[in-house]
Amino acid sequence: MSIIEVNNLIFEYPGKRALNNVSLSINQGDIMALVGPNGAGKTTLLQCIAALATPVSGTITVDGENIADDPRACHRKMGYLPDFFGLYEDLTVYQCLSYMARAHDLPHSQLEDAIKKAARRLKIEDRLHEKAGQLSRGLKQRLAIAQAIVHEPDVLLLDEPASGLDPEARQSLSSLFLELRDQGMTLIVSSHILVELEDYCTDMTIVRDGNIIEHRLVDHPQSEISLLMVSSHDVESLYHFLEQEPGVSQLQKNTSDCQFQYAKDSHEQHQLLKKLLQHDIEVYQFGCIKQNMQDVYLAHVNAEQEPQL
Amino acid sequence: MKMNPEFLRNYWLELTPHRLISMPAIILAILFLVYLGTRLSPASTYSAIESASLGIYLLLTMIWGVKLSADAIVGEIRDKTWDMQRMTAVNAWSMTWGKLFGSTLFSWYGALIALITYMYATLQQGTEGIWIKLSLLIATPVLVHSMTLLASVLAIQRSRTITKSASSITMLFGIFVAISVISNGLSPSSDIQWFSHRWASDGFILSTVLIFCGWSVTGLYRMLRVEFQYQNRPWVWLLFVIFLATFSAGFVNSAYASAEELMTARLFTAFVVTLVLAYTQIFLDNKDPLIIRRLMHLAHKKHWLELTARLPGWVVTLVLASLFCLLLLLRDYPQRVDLLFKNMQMNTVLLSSLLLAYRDIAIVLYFNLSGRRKRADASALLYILILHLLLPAILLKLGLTDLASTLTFYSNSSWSVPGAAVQVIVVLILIRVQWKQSFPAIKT
Repeated sequence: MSIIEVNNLIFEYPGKRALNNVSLSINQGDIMALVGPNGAGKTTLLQCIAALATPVSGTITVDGENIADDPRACHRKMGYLPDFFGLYEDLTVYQCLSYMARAHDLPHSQLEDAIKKAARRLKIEDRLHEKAGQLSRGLKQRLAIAQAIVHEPDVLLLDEPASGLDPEARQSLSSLFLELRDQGMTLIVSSHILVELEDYCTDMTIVRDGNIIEHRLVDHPQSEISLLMVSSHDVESLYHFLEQEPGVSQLQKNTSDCQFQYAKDSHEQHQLLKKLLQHDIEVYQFGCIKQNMQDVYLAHVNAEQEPQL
Repeated sequence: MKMNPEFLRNYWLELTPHRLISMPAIILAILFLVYLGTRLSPASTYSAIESASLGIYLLLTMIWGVKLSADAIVGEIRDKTWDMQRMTAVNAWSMTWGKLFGSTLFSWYGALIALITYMYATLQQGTEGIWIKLSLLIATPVLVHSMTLLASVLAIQRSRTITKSASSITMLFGIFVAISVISNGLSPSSDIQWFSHRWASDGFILSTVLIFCGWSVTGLYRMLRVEFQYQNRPWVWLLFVIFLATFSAGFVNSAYASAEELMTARLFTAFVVTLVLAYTQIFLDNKDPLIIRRLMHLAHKKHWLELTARLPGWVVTLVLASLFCLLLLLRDYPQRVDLLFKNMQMNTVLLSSLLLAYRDIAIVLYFNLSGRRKRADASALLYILILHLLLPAILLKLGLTDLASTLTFYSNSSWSVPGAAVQVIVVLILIRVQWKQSFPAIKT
C-alpha cells in the first residue's frame, strides 16, 4: 500500500527548475534510497515531502492526506533529519527528547516510555543527563535521529544520516533502520554512501537535474537482469560465440573473460553453459556478478552523460 | 494541564537555578542602595525607589526583553533548529504564545519584581491614574515584543541567511517603538481629539496600545502560519489596513469649512496611509520570484479563489489605495479641499500619485526578479530616490518643468498623469523581459 504519493511536482528557483514534474510512489514499509549528484534536487524533494518547502505545482499525499491542506497534521506522521541540523545545546539529552515528544503532541502518560525507547534505539540512554552541546559529533547525530523518531512517525525522512558517524555507529544505524522498517515505518534516505544504503534499502531512486531517471527495486531477483561472467583460455572464441547467441547483450571482452547481461533464469544459464561446452570452448569459470547500487547508479549516470560527450 | 512545549523549552533554558536567585538579589541590592542614599528623607525615598524600579523595569522589558524576542526566531535560524520546530505539530497559536512569553521569560521574571516595588513605592505617594499606568507598563512590552518578533519573522522570510545585524536591527526597531509609546503614555498631556470626541490621553494611549497589541499578535500568528506552510486568506490584512486608515483619518478634525470637506480630508488621509503602507510592505515582504511564479501558475489554471487567498499583502494594500483614490475621484463637488489642494486639480494629483506608487512598486519587483536578490531592495530604493528627487531637480534646473512634474508626487501639470502612466508601462515591460530571463523554459 502506497503511503507517499508525489504527483507532477515542480519546484523552481529563478533560472533553474529544481524538480521537473517529479512523480513517485512509496509503499508502506519501504526504505527508499534517494541518490544523485550534488544539486540534483534530492534535498528539495525531501523538503517538499516534509512540507517545509512549497512547490510551484503538484501534489504530495502522506497516508492519503494532501500535505498542502494541513501540513501540521502531516508533521505528526513524519520525522525529518535535515542534512545540516541543529540541537538545543544548552538542554540535556533528556530535555531535547522530551521537548520533541511534547511538540509532537504525545500524551503525557507516554512521554517517559517514548524518551527511553528513542534513547535506547540510538544507544544514548546513558547520556540522558548530559547537555547536547557536550556530546561528540557522532552522538549529536544519534540524538538528532532520536529526536526525529521519538514520536514514532509513520514516515522518516533522512538527509545524509550517516555523515559524522564512525563505522560501528553506521552499522548499528543500518540495523536501526531495518528494525524501524520491520515495525512498519517507511524511510526515505538521501545519501552519497551507496554501499551502506545497500544494506537496508528496498528501493533506489536516482535523481538527476530535477528528474527521476531511475526507480528500481533493490535485491529483487525476478525483476533483474544479471551480469554473467565467463572466463576462458580462449577469449576470442568465447567472444565470437557469445556475439551470435540470442539473449546476450552489453557484451564486453576482457583479458581472460567476457561479461554480458543475460536472463537470470538458472535453466537458461545452464543451457548456455551446455552450449559453450558443446562448442568446445575452454570455460573454466562461469558465474553471476551481482550489480550493487553503486554499479547501477554509475551505469545510469554514465549512460546519461554519454550523449553529451 | 498540558504545558505549551515552546514555553516549557524556554523555561528550561531561561530560568536556571542560578538565574532564579541572582535576578532578585541584584534588583534588591540596587534598591537597597537607593534606600541607603535617601533614607534620611522618607518622602524622597519612595520617589527614588519608584524611579529606580521603573528604570529597572524598563531596562529589563524594553532593552533586555526586546533583545531576547529579537533573537528568539533569528537565533533558531542561526542555530539550524528552526526546521526542526517547523516539523513539529506545535500549531501557530501555541508557537506565538510560546515564543512571545517564553523567549522573554527571564526578563519578565526580573521585571515583575521591579514592578511590584514600583507599585509599592507609587501607592505610598497616591493612587491617581495608577491602574492605567500599570496596565500601560504591562501592555507596552507585550506590544513591543510581539512587534519585534513579527519583524524578525518578516526578516527570516526575506532571507534565511540571516546575520546578527538583522537581529540588532529588529531590536533597535523594538526599542524605538517602546520609547515612543512609553514617553507619550507616562507623561501627562492634553486630551486627544479622535473623530468627534475628546479622549483622556492616558486612556486613549492605553486603548491604542491594547488594540495594536492585538493586531501585532495576530500578525505574528499569521506570519508563523506562513512559516508552517499554511495559506493566509487576505481578509485579516484587509481589515487591518482599513482599521489603520480609519484610525489615522480620525485624527483629521479641524480647519475644514464643511462636513463634506472634512470627509474628503479623511478619505485623503486614508489614501495616503494605504499608499505609505504599500511602500513599507513592498520593502518588508518576501518577494521571492517563486511566489509570483505560483500566482501565475494559479492564474493559468484559473484557480481564482486560491489565487486570491495567496495574494501578497502589498497587492491587497495597493488595491485598497486605488479604491480610496477612486472614492476621492468620485467626490462630486469642485476643488474639494482648498487646504489640501490649493490651486491644484485634485484628480491629477491623486491619479499621478497612485501611478507613481505603481511604478515604484514595479521597480522593486523588477530588481527582485533579477538574480541579485540580496541587494535588490537597496538598488530599487536608490533608483526610486533618484526618480523622485535627483532627476526632477535636474529637469527643473534645465527648465523642463512639465517633464519634472511627471516624476513627483503632488504635481498638477497636464503631463503628470500620462507621464506617470508611461513610466508604469515602461517598468512593466522591463519586468516582462526580466521574467523571461529568470524563467526561460517555463510555461505558465
